[in-house]
Amino acid sequence: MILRKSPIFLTVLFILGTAVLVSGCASSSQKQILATDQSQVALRSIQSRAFDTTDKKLMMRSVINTLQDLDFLLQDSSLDLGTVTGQKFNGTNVVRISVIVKERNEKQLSVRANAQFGLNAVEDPKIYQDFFAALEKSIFLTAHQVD
Amino acid sequence: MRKYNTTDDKKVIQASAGALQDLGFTVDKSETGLGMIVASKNRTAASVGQTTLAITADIASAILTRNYNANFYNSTDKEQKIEASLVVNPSFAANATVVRVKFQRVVWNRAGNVSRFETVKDPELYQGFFERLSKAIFLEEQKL
Repeated sequence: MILRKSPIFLTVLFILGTAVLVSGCASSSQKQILATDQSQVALRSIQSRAFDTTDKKLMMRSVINTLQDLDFLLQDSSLDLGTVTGQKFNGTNVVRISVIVKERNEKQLSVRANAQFGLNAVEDPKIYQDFFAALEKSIFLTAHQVD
Repeated sequence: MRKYNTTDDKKVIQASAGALQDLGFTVDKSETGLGMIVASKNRTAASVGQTTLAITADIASAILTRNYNANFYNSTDKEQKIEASLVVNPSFAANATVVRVKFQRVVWNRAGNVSRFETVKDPELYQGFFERLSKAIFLEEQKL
């Protein structure tokens, strides 16, 4: 009798044990709001480049063209803030990229891109290098590393 | 809501956009005339705790009640879309600019249904955001 009941007891014990463990270490998915893998400064250095031009409109047009070359569909843009946002589908994932162009100093503009792939932030420097390489070709200017 | 001691609205709104980018948000809409930015990001909502509990419950119901169709696992959270809307306003006090932000999230479970809509109310998260915004304002001044 006791032997026959023991799996049930074990299961109940297992459930209680897990419940206690879970309540101890439950982390809310709300934390994702501020979650990043890289520091603010490191991320900016990966995602930003400076260009020797002050023509913001031309720069934004080049960004738009580059995004279109890369198969992105434009979602929103604003000349005032210098933002361009594009989206594309990659199999089962949605890729979103947001680019902001702004004045860096009297002679330069800074361009910063950030992307997400599916449910993850893109923080791999190689991806951004490729994006800026394409942008360089589109505007015929060299992208300078910002540090 | 936070007040910054500058009248340069444009600088504050650019820094705000920068801070949102720092957090991995992409800009959905912006209207600089009104000082508004709407941004969003999609992230996982799965938590180890919730998933473990659901799997345990599924196994338990199979063993205890011989119900092999229990699927608590399907009702666990899978992904979320976090939206931020941020407004920059001139302050009533002279020489200041006020930034106000609100986060909202929609959570989907593994079955693909919306399990939760909520406005984020945790003060710590907002504090964390404004710390990053202050740092972003500093970084913009350094031209980074």
